[in-house]
Formats: sequence, structure tokens, C-alpha cells
Amino acid sequence: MSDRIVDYLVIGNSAAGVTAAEQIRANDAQGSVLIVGREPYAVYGRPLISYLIAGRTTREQMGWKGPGFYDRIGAECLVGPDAEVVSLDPEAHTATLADGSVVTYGKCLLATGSIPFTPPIKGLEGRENVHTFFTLDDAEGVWGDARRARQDADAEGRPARAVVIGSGMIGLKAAEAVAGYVDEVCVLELAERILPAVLDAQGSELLQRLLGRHGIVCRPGLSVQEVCGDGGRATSVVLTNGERIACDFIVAAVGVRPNSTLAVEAGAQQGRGLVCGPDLQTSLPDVYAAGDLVQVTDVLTGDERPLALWPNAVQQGACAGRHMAGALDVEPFDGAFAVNAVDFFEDSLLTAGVINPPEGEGYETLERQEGDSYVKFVMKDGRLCGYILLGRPDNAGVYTALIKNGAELSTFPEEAFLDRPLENLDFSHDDRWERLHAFYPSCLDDRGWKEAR
Amino acid sequence: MKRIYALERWCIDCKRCEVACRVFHSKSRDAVRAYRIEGDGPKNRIWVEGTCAASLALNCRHCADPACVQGCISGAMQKNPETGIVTVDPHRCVGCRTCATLCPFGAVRIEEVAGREIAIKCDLCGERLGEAGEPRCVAACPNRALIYVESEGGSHE
Repeated sequence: MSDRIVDYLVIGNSAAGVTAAEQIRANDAQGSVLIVGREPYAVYGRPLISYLIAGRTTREQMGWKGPGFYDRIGAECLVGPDAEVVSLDPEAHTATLADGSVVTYGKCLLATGSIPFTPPIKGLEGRENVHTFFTLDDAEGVWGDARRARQDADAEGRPARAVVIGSGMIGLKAAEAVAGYVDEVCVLELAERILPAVLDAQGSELLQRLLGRHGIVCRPGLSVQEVCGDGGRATSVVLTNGERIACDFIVAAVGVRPNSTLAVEAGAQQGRGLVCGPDLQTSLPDVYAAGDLVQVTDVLTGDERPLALWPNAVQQGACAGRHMAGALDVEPFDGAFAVNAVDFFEDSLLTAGVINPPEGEGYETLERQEGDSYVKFVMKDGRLCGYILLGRPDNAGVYTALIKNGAELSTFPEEAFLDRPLENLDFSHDDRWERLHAFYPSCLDDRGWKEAR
Repeated sequence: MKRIYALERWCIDCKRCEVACRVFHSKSRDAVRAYRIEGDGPKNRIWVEGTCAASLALNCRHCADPACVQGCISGAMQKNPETGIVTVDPHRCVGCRTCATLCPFGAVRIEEVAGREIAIKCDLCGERLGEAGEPRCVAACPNRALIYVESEGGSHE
């Protein structure tokens, strides 16, 4: 490909990059926009890969934007291995692609997301039936092995088995997806409980029980010592307790890290992710960043860490795009908090904010487990700062709004937490009106009448 | 854009808005068939909260910068750039509940339609996604507790 000069270079063709490109165009009708991405596909809903395997969506319906999206916003899009950016020269304002061509940019956005890391386990590398679970290609690999496992097991008259290493969101969604193909899914988790980042001990225990009904056996406190196999294929794993488990294939989902090497090699300041200003500019001039690779201030705790969640990537992408295009009245990015929605079979798990508050810092909690549901609210200084809603999803967003707005809880009825979902009628009359009547015509009163009272 | 507003001082918890909504969003568009024959397929996208003492009809606010759209992992939830109407494409939605976890009003619900859990929300009764129709809830309200009027701003970003 020939060298080119663009006003805006967007590196990364997923949630953050594409949203940024959209906002750049919305605020700069003229500037040329080039999006480059390593994966050879138009932007797709990355979290949908587990739904694809489970038969709950199709390749065609995974497109995150409609057909003709790039043309519609007037952005050029180059994807595939050749289009991967391999180095960045912030002084010269140039990026070099894998095919050797050079893009000279006015402003550049790094939206390269996260990359899964492969745990250093003996015998894990180089196996064709060991997969990470992050991209569409990963999903195709897992899917193929899941179908093959079913066939092989049926032919040999034995159960089909999968091993998943890691019980984070990615590992458990992979386990759910393949559970429809194999008889046994064994999920190994080094920590003492599953989904340690978004659940507490009680919630983890319940979820583990719910997953067990679908043939998913979670084994917290254990990991894989060694992967054994013949040649290219893994056939069993030896656990840290010495036990050996046979498997048809393995999903390695121990975690992700910010995919920020490009920026760091170019000299960008990195903490737990790329350090950015309120305009999402990195420490390098005219180099912005958005999405999983950015270090975000958690507005609830003040912690600085990446927030590798789709809605956060979209929000940051929009913000970065507006700043890059010099939009008027653009708001700074001043932090966020985690909101997670996930479902496993028929059970939904919604969580937000602080889940496991540290002791002695003034947090209070309310919890209740009833049958297959578990609800927990975390409060501090009379304000809500986190929740777990496992199997009780109703009106979760209303609680999210309480956290976001720092609403005082004393004005809400007590039963609107553990006993029943919070409703709009639980807000004061004035707050309710204000919440539900945005852009209400000024010529009308609250009776819907035009004449003065 | 025109928006539906609920005026709770006139709401008498009769739930005719729910019925009219469900009927419009049924195959037959007939109340008896929608409720008695079509099973749990047709869904209403407006919900009356409360009781006779105080009640309030709730549906999508078609926000200026909707959190549900921002969070949607499948791209099914969209705000039409021309009309400002927020709709969900039932075929692309996978029912992950991200929208429901982000909607500050509880105006998106996840319900089962034809064996799939998907997001259900007000579409302003358009015949096509992103087009406004004539909201049936407003027409059905006996008390003018729901009005459909030109709002002041917030159609598009």
C-alpha cells in the first residue's frame, strides 16, 4: 500500500475507535479519517462471540454498525494483518503499518483495546486446540473444537470435555458457550472463588451452583500445572493438586492487559494503562487514547486502572473523537465506574461499582439470598456505591443512576432495595418530574395545559 | 422530536396504555387475540408503576445521549440520527441486559419473545424502526395523562 497523509488516524477498529471516528466526522465534516485494524473484519460486537457459539446470534448479525457504515461517515478503513500499526513516531506524526507503508497524521487515536495474556503453563504453548477467547477468530477456533469434541466423543462413546483456565467474565462466557457442545466443562480458577472481580464470596458460591446445573464444574483454588498431549493437540491437564483431567480442548482466559505497547515504545506515559488528560490525550502530543488501554480514575474509589468494558470504550471513544475534532462545549472525561451485565443460561448477573468494600473505611452493606437470587447493595456516607443483582435484574439501571448521581439514600423507602426493585415513584415528586420530563415544552404546565394556573 | 410525557396527576392506574401498546405490538392488532391467543409474544412497552393512590406510566424517554445505545454490545440499540427515536432491532439483540443496567428509568426491559430474551422498549409506534407513528398509549389514555408533544431539544446529539 502506498504512503498516505490523513488528518485523523484511528488505530483500532472496535468500540472506541469506531465511535471516535463517528464523532470526529460529526464535528469535522472535511477532515480525512483513516481507521486501521488488525482483525480482517468490519467492526463487530466483540462480546457477542460467546453468543455466536451458543447459537444466539449469527456472523451477519454481529456487525456492530450497519452495512455501509464507513462510507456513510466518510472514513477509509483498512483492516487485516497488513494494516496493523507496528510503530509510531509522535515527533514526525507518522505511523508505520505492517506492510511497511507510512501514514502521516494530524492527530492520532490509539484504540487498540486489550490483549489476552497466555499464562506461563508448561506444555500450553503451541497446541492447536488451546485458544484464547477474545476475537472472532478465537471464537471460530473454539467453536470448531467444540463441534469436533462432540463428534469424537460420540464416535468413541465417551463424554466430551473442555477445560477453561480462568473464571473471569471471558472464561465463564466461554464455558457457557461450549457447554452446549460438550458434556463436561471444567473451569479452573486460581483465586478462592469464581468471578472474583465482580462477585463476593456468597454470590460466587451461588453462581457456581447455578453453573453446575448446566454441566459446568468450577474448581476455585486450582490451576493447571501442566498441559499434556500428543503432538499438536492437548489431551489432558495436570492440576496444581496433582489431579489429571482429560480434555478435548482448552480455553485460556486468565486475563487481559492493555494493548499499549505501541504507545509505550513511542514514549507515552503508562501507569496501569495509558495515562491521559481530561481530553484523553496521552503524554504524547496529538496522540489520544480511548478504551481498554486507558488508565481510568474510578470515580467511586479514586483507584486508577483500566476499565475494560464495552460501554466505557464507547464513552471514551466519543469523548476523544470530539476533542480531536475540536468540538465546541466538549466535556472532559473525568472518570467512570464499572457496570457489568452478563447472563449465564437463564440467570442474569448485573453488578456495578464497589462490590467488595475494604473493611474499616465506613462502607455498609445490605445482602439477601433467596433461592437462586442474591442481592447486595454497598453504601458509604448514605450513598449507594455498588450492587450485585444475581437473578433479580429488574430496574437495575435505576440503581446505576443512584450511584452515578450520588443520590442520598435517606429519601428512598427502605424496602426499595432488598424487598423490591426501586421505581420512579420512589423518587420525590420534584425529582421524578425532573428525571422523566427532559425537554418538556416550556409552554405547558405539569397538567399538560397551556393556560396559566 | 415529539415525545410522550406522562402527567401523573391525571394517571388513574387504569393500564389502558399498556393494553393499547401490547395490542399495537401484536401480530393481529386485536386485543382479544393479543392477550388470549398470541400467548406471551406481544409485549407492552409502557408500564404503569404504583397503585390507584399514585401511579405513573413509564416508557422510553428517547434521551439526547442514551446510555442504552452507548452500552449496547450488539449494535441493536440505536438512536436514529434524523428522528432521534431510540429503537432496538429484535433480530440483533441478544438480551445481554447491558441497556437495562444503564437506563436510569427502567424503561428498557428484557422479555422473552419467540423463545429469545430480548430488549423491549417504546418505539413510538413506528411501522419501521426509527420512524414515529401515532403512539397508541397516548390515544388510549382516557384522562390525558399521556401527551405526545413537540419537545424542546435533545433529538440528536
